[in-house]
Amino acid sequence: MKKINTLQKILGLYFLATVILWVVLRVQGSTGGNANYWYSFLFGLTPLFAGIVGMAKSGIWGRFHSALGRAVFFISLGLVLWGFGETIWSYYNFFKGVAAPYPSLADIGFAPSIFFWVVGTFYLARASGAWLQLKRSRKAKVFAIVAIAGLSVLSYYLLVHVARKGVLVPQGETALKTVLDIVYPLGDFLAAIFAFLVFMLSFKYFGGYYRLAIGAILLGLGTMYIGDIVFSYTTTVGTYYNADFGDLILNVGLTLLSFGVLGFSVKPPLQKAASQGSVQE
Amino acid sequence: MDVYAQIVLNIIRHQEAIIGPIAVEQAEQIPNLHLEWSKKEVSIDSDPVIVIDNLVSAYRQLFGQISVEVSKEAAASLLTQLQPAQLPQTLR
Repeated sequence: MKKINTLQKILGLYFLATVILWVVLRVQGSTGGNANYWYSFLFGLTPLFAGIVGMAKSGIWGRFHSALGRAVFFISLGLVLWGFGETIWSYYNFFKGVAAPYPSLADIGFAPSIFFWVVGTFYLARASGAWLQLKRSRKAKVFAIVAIAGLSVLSYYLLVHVARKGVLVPQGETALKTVLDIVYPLGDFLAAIFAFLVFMLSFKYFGGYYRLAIGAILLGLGTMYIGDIVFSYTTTVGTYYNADFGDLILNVGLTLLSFGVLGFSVKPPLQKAASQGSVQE
Repeated sequence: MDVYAQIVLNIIRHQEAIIGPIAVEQAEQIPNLHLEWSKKEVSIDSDPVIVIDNLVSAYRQLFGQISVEVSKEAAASLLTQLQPAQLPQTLR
């Protein structure tokens, strides 16, 4: 049974091309200019197109009438918004000559994307079996509480002590940047913690035709969390540039999310069962 | 509607809430299982235990063990009406 569809293969090749561009920029030591701007623009197209396809194809799963339909739709909507934000970012790069337009109008796309990923992951929890496990098992409930507490402490350390050098509101920083510096990783944290819980709680139920797609979405959310912490850190210490290491992490995260969403863009091959109880494709 | 048909109906309903219309489309592919889903009517032509096992196995092929667990949950209240020997293998 084929588990990777044509769109996912195209996405894989596109990702490879953007990584090659990133490596070339690294080798050349380029930290600014059009080539770097192109990298940001190109990896921003991935979520834009995958998100549009995902939203359009979520009808296969009933869109708003099933848990999986809602999960695919909202995660896709988050991707479209992120891609939209990146397009505005690129506009500032190419036409305004601003290398790091943060905060800017681009955040109108970036900020709500995380909210929709959290919503999408909530529904994915229902579809993947995490919810069922939480309902059935006391051990799962305890695990969820311990995991949330542990990851909250870790996240506070990473967000405040590492990314912001222990200072929540540095002198001279605008209120909007401070708010966004906290909102982005915090939102990502919520999405990542959901992803972690969904993965851990539904691990024993994982399987079937969409195993890879669900795994990619969960891994993508975790990667976006790390990417946004790096982004917060580099913009706080002033070392951010387009196509830096943080942008590569974001590219990986967005590609994983897109890969997952595209996995649900094709109807599964329905099974015809043989009369004696075995199931055949 | 007999208890096996009700089990099938409950399973498809629960699967539909999770994976949407694919749940019904998949059920329509199962031999000897006839649906008129707009009326929520189900009829089974042959051994209902085999039909239910085929249905649950088909869902498992798509979404793994979670499909089996959802099916068990959907059928739980009706399984008490059956003797252990009458239970479909996949729902035990």
